[in-house]
Amino acid sequence: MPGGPGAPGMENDMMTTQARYERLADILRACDSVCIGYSGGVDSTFLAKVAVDVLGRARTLAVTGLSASYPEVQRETARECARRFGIPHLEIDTDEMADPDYAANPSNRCYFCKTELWSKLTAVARERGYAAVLDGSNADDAGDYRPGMQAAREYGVRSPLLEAGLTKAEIRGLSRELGLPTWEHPASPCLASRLPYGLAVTLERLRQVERAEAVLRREGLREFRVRHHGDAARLEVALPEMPRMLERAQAVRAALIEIGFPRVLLDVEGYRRGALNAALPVLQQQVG
Amino acid sequence: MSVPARPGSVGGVPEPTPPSGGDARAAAAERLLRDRGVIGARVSVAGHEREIAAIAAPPSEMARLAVLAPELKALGFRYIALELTEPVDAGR
Repeated sequence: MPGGPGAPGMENDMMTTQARYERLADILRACDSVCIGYSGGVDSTFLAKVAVDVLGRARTLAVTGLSASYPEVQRETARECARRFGIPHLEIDTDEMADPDYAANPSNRCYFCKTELWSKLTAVARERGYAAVLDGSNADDAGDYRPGMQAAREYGVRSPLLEAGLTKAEIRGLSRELGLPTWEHPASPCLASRLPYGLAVTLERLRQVERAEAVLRREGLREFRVRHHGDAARLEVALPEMPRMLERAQAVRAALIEIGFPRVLLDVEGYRRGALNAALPVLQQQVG
Repeated sequence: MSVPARPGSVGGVPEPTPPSGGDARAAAAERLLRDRGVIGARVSVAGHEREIAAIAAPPSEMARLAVLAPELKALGFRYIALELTEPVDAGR
């Protein structure tokens, strides 16, 4: 366990985190053997590492679903972490794009994507004899709009980080203690999350977003999103990185025009998590 | 303050929606910006649901636009963004 219980100088709030870490370890032990939905993000990497530490390699399998909406840069992180930390790792193909309900990009798009993922991942777990299937949802996710969690419930997928009450900040802190490089990685949802609800998810749009975000990374930016609005790219950049963005605005604009965006817009409010959910009240009114 | 360049056609890229053209929200946004001292800013509409106010203004106005974002959104926009335009002397 990172730090160990009662480590010298440990703050009270860290004791709480340690207690939650112990709770997580207990949940994993009770599972006996686990198959984990593994994206290479902060949460699932932490969960996979703890599972290997608690249950051992023979009782842990991290599974990555490869699809058009899964960024290549994320795949590299997933592979690298699995290699470095001895996490048994399997990549499988998933094809949510073949589901017209997903491609139409409704506000519950994640439900259809996760249905595809968990149907395949639970099949892998069954075939290989793993007792439980887990995801990396954490305590902070409980309050968010996350239709994908419904699919997880339907397939009996458990969320031990959430069950243990571990927040994102705690997971980052524990990841740092464990030496996981993901501790400081920005949140990394799938590429389709860059398209506003109602704008069809297509391979071309996903590739444009992926290429555009690679441009911003090359320009030295870390926390941002390229939102694809059909006729424009709307860039959300974390406010502390805005001076750098403005400094490189012309280079970024030229590169994104080359990628195929007719217009390039810089959101004045900067990056905020779940910004496209701003449309939800309108969509719910339309449905209701 | 210099008057910003209007969004232009670049390398075969289609001309954006004309500033304020046919959208009362954009005209209202231009008036609001002028009243708040952002002189010469042009506003057009973007997005598949026409939900974005795209403002052509000098990048130095970013901070002020961020402060004005709630008022601009109240005109009926979901997002407020600075339009990244080609420099006025580009290609000369």
